[in-house]
Amino acid sequence: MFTYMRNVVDSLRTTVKGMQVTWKNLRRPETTVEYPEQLVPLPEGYRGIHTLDTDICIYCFQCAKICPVDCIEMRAERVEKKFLSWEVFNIDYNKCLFCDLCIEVCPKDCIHMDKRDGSAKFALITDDRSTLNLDILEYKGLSEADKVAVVKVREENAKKAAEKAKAAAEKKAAADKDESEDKKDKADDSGK
Amino acid sequence: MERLVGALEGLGESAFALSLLMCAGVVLGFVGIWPLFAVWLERKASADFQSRLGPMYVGGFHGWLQTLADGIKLAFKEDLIPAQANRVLFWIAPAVAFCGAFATMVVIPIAQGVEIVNLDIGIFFILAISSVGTIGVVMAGWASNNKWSLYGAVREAAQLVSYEIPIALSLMIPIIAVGNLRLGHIVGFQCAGPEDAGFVYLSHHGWLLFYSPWTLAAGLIYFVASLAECKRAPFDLPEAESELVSGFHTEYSGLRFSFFFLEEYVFMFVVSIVGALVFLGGWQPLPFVSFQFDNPLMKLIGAGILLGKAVFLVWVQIWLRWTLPRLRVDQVMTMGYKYLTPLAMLTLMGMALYQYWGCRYIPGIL
Repeated sequence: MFTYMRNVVDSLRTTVKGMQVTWKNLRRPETTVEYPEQLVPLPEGYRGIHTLDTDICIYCFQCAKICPVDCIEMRAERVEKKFLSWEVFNIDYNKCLFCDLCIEVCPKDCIHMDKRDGSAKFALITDDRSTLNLDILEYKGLSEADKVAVVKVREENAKKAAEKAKAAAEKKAAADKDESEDKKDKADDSGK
Repeated sequence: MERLVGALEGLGESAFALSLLMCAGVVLGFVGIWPLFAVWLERKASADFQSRLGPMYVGGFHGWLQTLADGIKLAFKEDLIPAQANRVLFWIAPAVAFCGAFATMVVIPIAQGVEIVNLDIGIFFILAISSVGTIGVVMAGWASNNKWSLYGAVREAAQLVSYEIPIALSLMIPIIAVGNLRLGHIVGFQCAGPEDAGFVYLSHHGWLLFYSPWTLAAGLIYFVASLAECKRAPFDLPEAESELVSGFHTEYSGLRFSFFFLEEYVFMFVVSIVGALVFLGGWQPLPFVSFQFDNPLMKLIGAGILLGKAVFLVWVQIWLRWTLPRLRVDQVMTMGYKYLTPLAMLTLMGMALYQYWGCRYIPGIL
């Protein structure tokens, strides 16, 4: 009889206790994050997409040199014997293994992978792998003065390239002309 | 509704038949819509208990249309019948199981005087008709020609037959106090007040749950037994997914499966609303203070309060489901025959003596 009553009391007590536990869980905030709508809170030092602080970068190219998979493609504009600003700073995330070496080697601490300026991206989901070759300069623009200089240099470069192309085209046209004349001669020869 | 039926009765047989069809339509509409809400509630509540979010996309606000989407998916699924199955029984079983839950709605008053049939044996009718569902389940298990289904069906039969006793006994205890089987009268007893009562008055008896210690015990026994009646955890042995592959509805798919699903959720609602009517004062919002629910607006509010109580009880069922693990078969039988039945009998005896000696009120309260 004692066991019987104890069982009744125990079943009630344990049920209430269990319900208290689930009640506690009910009041706890959800741990699920609705990912595409909400971003996962990133931990400090999270290795995401690089950011480049172009104001303090000294164009030493150390990051490109140390990269074990050679995924950093960089070219800099050169104005009067010194580098002024980046022409190209692309990182190919198809190759990048987020090893942190480029950050460690940087003498000015200007390349980062963390969420320092809120631009760290969480996912690299895409259906076109060519889009993973990202232009890092997009994330941090040039200063106004540098922009003017860079545009000037780019225009000059373009002009030079155009001239070069023009010269090459002329040369080629001349060569073609010679060739066609040769052919003509040959045809005449064969006609004989 | 009763008045409407009565008025149409004078118009002749065809109008009477039409009114009956209308009533059936109302019940069928509710039975169709309620599971949509209940399943959504269950999914959201279980998600909350596990620190998840649950459905969030369909319909915009917290995935409130998720169940409808699932239902449409279910309706378009292929309707399979196993080659060795008994086709006739397999075909009838979901309808029989569904009728058990569906027909009980007929006698439930949703507000004061608003019920389809004011049966003088209301509670008895509910107890009797709800057992019809068991036959449907046994038919389904037998007709499927599948050992898991048969196990599920036999468990269901054993469980429901054994829990019929405590549920009937525990409902008899408030009936001793009221002296009437009509559900409307039982609620009327709980809000009975002085003759010249105003809009708000102190009721003589209060909610039956707090009427005497015996009715309190009866309420608890009723709740536990009703969990077993509608196959909810921790008594969900007939459809134990992990051991019996969903038990009696293993072989069912598409719309037929959805009928079993509807039956389960409608029956959850039925036992909850009966509990709310009998023990929790029906449409009376407070235990000992009653309001006059006589004009249409108040009746609408009363219906809302009653539905709120029923939904709360369903929510407690869900809470228990996500708290307790499933019992073993022998534990379920022990619980039914060794604990709930003797305790219900003891409570019945106590209540009878309590009424006999005239201790109608709890000393100190009224």
